[in-house]
Amino acid sequence: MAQRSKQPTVPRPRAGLNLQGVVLTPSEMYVLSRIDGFSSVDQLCQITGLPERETRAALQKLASVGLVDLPMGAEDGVDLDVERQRAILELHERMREMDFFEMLGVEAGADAKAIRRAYFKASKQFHPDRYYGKRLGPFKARLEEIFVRLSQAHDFLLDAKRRSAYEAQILGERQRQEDAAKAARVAAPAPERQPDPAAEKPKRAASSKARAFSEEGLRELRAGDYTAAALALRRAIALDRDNLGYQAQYKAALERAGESSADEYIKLGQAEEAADRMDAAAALYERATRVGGRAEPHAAAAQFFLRIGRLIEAKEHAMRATQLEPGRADWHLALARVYAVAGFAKQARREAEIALHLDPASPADRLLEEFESGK
Amino acid sequence: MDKVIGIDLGTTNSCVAVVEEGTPTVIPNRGGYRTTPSIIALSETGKRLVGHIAKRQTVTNAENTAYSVKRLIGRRFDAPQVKTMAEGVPYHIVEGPHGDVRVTLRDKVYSVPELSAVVLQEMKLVAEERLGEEVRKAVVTVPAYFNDNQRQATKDAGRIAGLDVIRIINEPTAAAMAYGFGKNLERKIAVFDLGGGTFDISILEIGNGVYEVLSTDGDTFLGGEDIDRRIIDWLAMQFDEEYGIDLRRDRMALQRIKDVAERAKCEVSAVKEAEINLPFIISTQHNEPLHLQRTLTRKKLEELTTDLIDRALSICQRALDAEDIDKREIEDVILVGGQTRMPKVQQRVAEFFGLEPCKGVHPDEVVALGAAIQGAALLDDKSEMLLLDVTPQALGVMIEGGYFHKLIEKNTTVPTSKHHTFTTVRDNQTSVKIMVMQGESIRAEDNELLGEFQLTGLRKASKGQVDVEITFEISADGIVSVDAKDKETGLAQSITVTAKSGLTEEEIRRMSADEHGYAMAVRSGEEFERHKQQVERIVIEVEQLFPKVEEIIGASDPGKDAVGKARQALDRTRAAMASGELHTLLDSAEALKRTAQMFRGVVSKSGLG
Repeated sequence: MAQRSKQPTVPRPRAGLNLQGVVLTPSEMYVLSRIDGFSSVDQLCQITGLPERETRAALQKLASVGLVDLPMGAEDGVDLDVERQRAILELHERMREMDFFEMLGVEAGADAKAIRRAYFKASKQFHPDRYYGKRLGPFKARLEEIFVRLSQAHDFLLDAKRRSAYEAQILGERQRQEDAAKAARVAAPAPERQPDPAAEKPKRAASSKARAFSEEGLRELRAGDYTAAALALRRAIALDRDNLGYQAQYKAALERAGESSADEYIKLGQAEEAADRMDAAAALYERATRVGGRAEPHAAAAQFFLRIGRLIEAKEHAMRATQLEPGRADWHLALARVYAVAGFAKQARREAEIALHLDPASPADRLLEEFESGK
Repeated sequence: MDKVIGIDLGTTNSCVAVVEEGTPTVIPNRGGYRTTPSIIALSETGKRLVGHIAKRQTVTNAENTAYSVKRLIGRRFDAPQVKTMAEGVPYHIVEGPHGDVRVTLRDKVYSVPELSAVVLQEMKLVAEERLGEEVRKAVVTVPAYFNDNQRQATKDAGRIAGLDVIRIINEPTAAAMAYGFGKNLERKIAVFDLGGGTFDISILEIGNGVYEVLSTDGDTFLGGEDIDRRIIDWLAMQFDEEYGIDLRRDRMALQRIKDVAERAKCEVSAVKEAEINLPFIISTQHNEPLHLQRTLTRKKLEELTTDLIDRALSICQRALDAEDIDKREIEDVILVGGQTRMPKVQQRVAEFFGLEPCKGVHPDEVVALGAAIQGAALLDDKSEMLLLDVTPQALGVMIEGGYFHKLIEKNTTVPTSKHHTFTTVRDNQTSVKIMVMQGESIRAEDNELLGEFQLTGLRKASKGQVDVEITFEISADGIVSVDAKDKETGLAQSITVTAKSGLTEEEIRRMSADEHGYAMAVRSGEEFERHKQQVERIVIEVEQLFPKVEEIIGASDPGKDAVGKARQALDRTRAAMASGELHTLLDSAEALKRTAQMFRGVVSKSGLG
């Protein structure tokens, strides 16, 4: 069943060779310089005099950054026809740069039905089960990676809440990229005509590496792994300290990381509380308040401690919440409740009044009424 | 192309199907039944019995008859479900060498996969007889909630039975594939599977030949047997009130009540009431025989089981809620499992979803058909069908404080890959232990441990400063691999998680060889039986002709000689028939055939003359 083309693979340089934004090693550059559009991969391996593995890896790299076309002479021991191999390779190479809409091949406004249809259609091409029992070699991993990405796109776009924000972001990004590309075309001279001075090279390499890290960071941010995002962005900053954009992104990622782990601790705390394991719950609420500088975890902790009657901790957290976010009526109301339970009527009334002042619709008025009737 | 069979390995009944010339068909067993009881017994003479024969002797040989073993498969001996089972069944459940479950029948100890293998082997034989060729590949179905250990144990059972289980798929998913086969559908459906022992609900989306599982849920201990138990309890309690005797304490009485309860339950699905009549069910202390006589009305049964149906429907709601699906989005409901024949179940399901359940599928056969369809779809590259299966339970790792951090949620389409970055929790921590777990509880200890490994050699730093990225990957055939990486140094460690079925590789190999030997013995036994029947006909013919021939030629010396030789041939053949050895039988039969020919000649000549 194996279909192999008899023709050898001949790499061809792409028209309008553009090295803008590409970092190559000297050996990759050297291999590129040997490509003439006639020599096959096997011949190139001999011509370059480099170890064969290095030559092949260099060719893969050159193909992946779009500098050469590497028409697939079928790989040995793979039961896939050349067309299919090419389709898989192409999508696999490109998918990192594709947004979810492009990945599924749908318009940005596509409805759930269209997304599902597109997903099913793509699954029939790229789900590994379609090639069950065939020898796939390296294509097995590629198919799996493609399918994972397809599923990710599908799941994400069917999630209305996450999608709407993403949609706006993607459209904005596309616009920015277009603008940047236009600007680059105008501003940047072709690199091969103006070789970099030797001293500039490491710096350029570093900034390009930094850019790669920043891209990775943004990808992780989108995928929801905020810790990984922060980590990648931290590396980007280490390589390119002056880039204010990276620093802003890093800060945002850190915040999101804090938020998401705080939320997680609170969720765990609630579960422990429901299971009546109060010590464990208390530890989790405390931990939630220590990540990120938001008021919410403190408010949640305050309410928890109030529920279990540990008023000192309840007051601490309620107060901290009002300090972190003084303009929020809810936090003042929460603090008022703690005071009320603890018997500090004056402080309770004061906080309730602030809450009411900040938000006339706040239920703090009921608390105040209680004081009136109680005294 | 290799034939691949689909096997629905059920708690109470099993079914086998194959796709022949593009048509999925159920293969009936030798008795002509389309399903075979999943019952294995060892008779007094040590003979192994499977299926209907095993079921029929359950009353008299209860201790040596294993049923519902699917409830034990892939579980640890100390699991609460195993304890409950051990208390409720007449056969003996013991602990195996690896903390696994074993069953004793007579003096032999069987692992659970071995018992399931006996059933699978039977289904394999049924298929081979019909197809006239050896079958090696199968798709086997399991309940959607089965965890990886239970799935692995089922795969091992296949291996012991000499089958290459090319895929394990979920029963409701299989049902959906059979339902959608050959139709060009685009819709959302629910599969409501109330079988003998378990309840399963799955929501699927079908479009363009692709079957995507959206949500699954279920209850391991909710099914027809629970309904039977309600009837049994009702009967026994009334009897107890009347005579002060609890029939459930008497094994023979209990077995008879069980049989009659099941029958009555089925009857009231068709008619309004069923008579229950068990004469001489038990004797009093004074040796007075007592009888049990009752009428079970449909209404009474519904009353006894309302809460069970409620439970099933609340699980349906949970499955819908889990993936934010409105029940009005469901366009068709498929009923699977014998218990869905109960009119009340159908009515309540119809009310719940607001639509009449689909009538086109056979509840007992649809799962096996779907398994066969998936088998054919995998092997046929021109197939238009593709199943997008999901993870049955969440996968993740244990984190500080004994909590479970989910990396891959339940109902995630496979293949999939997810990663998450963790940080160290102690100063100068140089290693992390990664405990890979499966389950839904936030507390790690409540979940199933699938495997563990260590990532050592982390650089020394204060806590929170070292980031470890953990990646989970599940391939299309369900293989889980976990990878841990120190992102800064690139230091990495990974494992492929092998679910534990409770058996070692060595044991599986040995059991597989034993089973193969047994199958060969059964097969050669069958061949002998076939020849014996042919030879028997010749023996009868010779015996009938004997007096006549003796009369005609017995007077002469050569005639006497011939008659003597004929008698020898006859005796030798009779002995060979009893010996069980095929080639002795064939040899002696050859000689007897010549005798028969000679006899016919003598008689016809004399007749003419």
